[in-house]
Amino acid sequence: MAGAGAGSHVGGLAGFLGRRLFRAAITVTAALVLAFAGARISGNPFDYLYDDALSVEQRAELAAEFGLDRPLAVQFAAYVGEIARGNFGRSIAERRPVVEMYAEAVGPTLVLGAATVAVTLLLGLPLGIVAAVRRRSVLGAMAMTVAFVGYAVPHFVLAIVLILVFSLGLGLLPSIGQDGPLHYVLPTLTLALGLAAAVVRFTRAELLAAMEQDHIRTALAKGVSPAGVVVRHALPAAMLPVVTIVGLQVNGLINGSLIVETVFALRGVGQLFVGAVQTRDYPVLQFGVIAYALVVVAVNLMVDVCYGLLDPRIRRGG
Amino acid sequence: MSDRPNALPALTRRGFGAAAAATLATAAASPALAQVAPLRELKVGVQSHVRGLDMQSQTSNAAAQFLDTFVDTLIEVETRTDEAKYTPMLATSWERLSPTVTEFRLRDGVRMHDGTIMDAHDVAFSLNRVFQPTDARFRGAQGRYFYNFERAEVTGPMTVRLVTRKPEPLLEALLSCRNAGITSKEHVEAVGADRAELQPVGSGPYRVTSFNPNNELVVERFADHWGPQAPLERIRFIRIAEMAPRVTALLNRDIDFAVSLPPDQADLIRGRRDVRLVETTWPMFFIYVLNMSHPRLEDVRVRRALNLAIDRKALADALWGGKALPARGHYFQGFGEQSYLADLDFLKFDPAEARRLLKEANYDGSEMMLNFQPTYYTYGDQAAQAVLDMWKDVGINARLQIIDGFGQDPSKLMTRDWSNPLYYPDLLGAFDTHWSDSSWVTRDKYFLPQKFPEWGRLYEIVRFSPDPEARRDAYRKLVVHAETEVVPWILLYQPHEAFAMRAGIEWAIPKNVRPYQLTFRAGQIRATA
Repeated sequence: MAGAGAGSHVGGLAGFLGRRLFRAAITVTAALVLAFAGARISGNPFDYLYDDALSVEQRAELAAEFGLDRPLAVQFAAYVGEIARGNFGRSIAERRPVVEMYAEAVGPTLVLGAATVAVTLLLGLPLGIVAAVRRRSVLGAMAMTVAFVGYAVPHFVLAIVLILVFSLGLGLLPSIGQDGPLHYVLPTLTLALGLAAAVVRFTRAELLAAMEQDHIRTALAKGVSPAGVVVRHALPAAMLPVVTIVGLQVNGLINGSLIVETVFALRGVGQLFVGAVQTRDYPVLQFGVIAYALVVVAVNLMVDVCYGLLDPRIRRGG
Repeated sequence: MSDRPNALPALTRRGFGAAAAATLATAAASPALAQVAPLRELKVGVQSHVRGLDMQSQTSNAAAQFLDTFVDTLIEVETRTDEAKYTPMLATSWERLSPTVTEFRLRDGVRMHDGTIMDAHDVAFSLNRVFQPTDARFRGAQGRYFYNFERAEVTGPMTVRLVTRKPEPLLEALLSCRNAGITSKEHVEAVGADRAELQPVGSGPYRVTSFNPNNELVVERFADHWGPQAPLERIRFIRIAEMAPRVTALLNRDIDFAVSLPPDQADLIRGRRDVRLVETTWPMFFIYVLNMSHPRLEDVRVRRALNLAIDRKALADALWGGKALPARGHYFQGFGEQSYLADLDFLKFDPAEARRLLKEANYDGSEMMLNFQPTYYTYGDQAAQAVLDMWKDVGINARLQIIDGFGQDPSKLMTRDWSNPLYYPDLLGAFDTHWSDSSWVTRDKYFLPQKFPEWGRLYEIVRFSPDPEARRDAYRKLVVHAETEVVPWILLYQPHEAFAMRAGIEWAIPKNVRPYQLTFRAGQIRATA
């Protein structure tokens, strides 16, 4: 019986993973189609890339060079075929492989993303614990106020306020560029304050729920200190949803980086993508959308898998 | 902030004042200490950047900012005198062998940034790309500048012959434009035209060492430059698209130099001791092109009425703090003195005359669309809204229509916003680059010069006559004809902008070159750390 149970468990997990992978594949395929169609509906790159309007002949030459003179169905088939071979095309604006362009830009974005996740956790978790443990104190109210402000203020407003205070007012931090660690402080704070706000609220809510559990009362009755109860018993139980939330906020991180990189003149993926939108550079746009979809799908998949592994009810429900 | 190469101690405004005072006091007390080190790296915050840097393909205002640092031309124009003086650069001399053939003797020993020595093949290769373009990317420069040039021929290791279709009175002016720069034939052929956009090679005092398209360009002093050494070791052109962050970055010393600040932004920092402002009213018009092929704009009286209904002074006062110069006709004051026709003013605000012309033209209240791109030029959206109301005030049934991009179907548009800068110091410096038969406005039938034989006759004289007096006389008649009988445009004003730089930098806006060209060669900038 035990062996059958284990086999059922593995089979259930495999089925669960299969269903999730199938859905992920549908999502990425939809993104692929939408990227192709959306880019073309939004306009023609030759209308945006040149200062003077191009002649009919010039447009025809350029269209032929980039394969845009072929029927849409043929273009789509070629696009999918090339992607299957790992070729994401050549930028119309810069006439070089889009993968090369993204490879150049991804460094600063990864640094910004990693720093943002770290600061989000370093700020969000302690403030969330304080907000739960001292929920009726001034300290708890302050933590929740910080969370509320972080939630409510848009990135572009927060960025400007931080620049005014820390760059212009105090002269402590650079306002643009990516020459060293200090250049990442303000962009990171801009992104992290909003994300940390969510972590504060979730940590507080989960911690308060955990503190109501029987085993917490038992631990207190056994004489464990309140701090020890929070750290050793309540916090681990509250952490799973919180970590999940951090994972899901990758979407917010990517969206925010589009604005933050522009304001702080960081040469990352966000700026590259915004530039491609402005010039309708199809291959760059398409790669950006597909990469974005892949990252979001991968993170969601990981979250689903974690949930599936830890909660059999979800696994069976599919 | 020690990670920044030329970082200065972070200072508050008050702190900076105290430090400046202390420095001045020390300098006054000890002349020996007054010697301050020259600035090694200049960081320039620019509004717009470029996606390629090929000197022949990049004709935009954004590219004009950078090209002078690394591009040399056969002929140079003096940038510090009011009058344009043409001097040898990569050519040491030139001689007109016939009205349409000029031979150039090239400078010996000019090392290019790829290590090769410039010769006649490099010159012919570079110029033939824009004289006989086989690649679409070079046709912009050909249409604007070089349509009268037929070919460049190698006649010896260090001699080149340029052949024009008609005698070319603008030879020196056109060949001193940076789009007539000389690149290395070996380099372009080795890396291909696409890579050459990203790794440009010239022979200027700086060489490109790093280029991140649309974001940042780094040029460094080229030790093997044939002429005077560059005054700066390195220049970084960093794109900071928004105006406010650009100003903030300057005040925060993240950059040393900020370009393209309109009056309201310049006013924010005017009077500060740590910042220097250099301002100019550009020899450039912001304009709307009128689509003469559109049935509702066929009648010149309607086109004139659209012009006379606009109170340009009100626009200049409200949007530009009175610092933009309202247009009087397609000619400039100051820079380009010879093209200024002081006694002519065709664009007075005259709503009564506008109403009369509309009535005379039997205007039936048909809808007139003002098509424009809200972000094409500074304050473009506010200007369009004001113009719309001014048109309504004289009885025009007007509507705003935003267009997105330059490639709209011309038959559907009534207007298109544009700018007409003076590209070189000549009567036709803004005319020929925008309104010749090779211009897109003619090709796309916004402008129909064939309907106006007098335009063609006068234009031919101004463009090709070797007699300066005949050119000037014909130019005056051409302007009168254009503003009264042709009216292919609505000229608004000449914009006013400021360059802001931190104290310690001495730099002046160059003369006789196109607007926005940044000049950082020997004698053109002095900067202390």
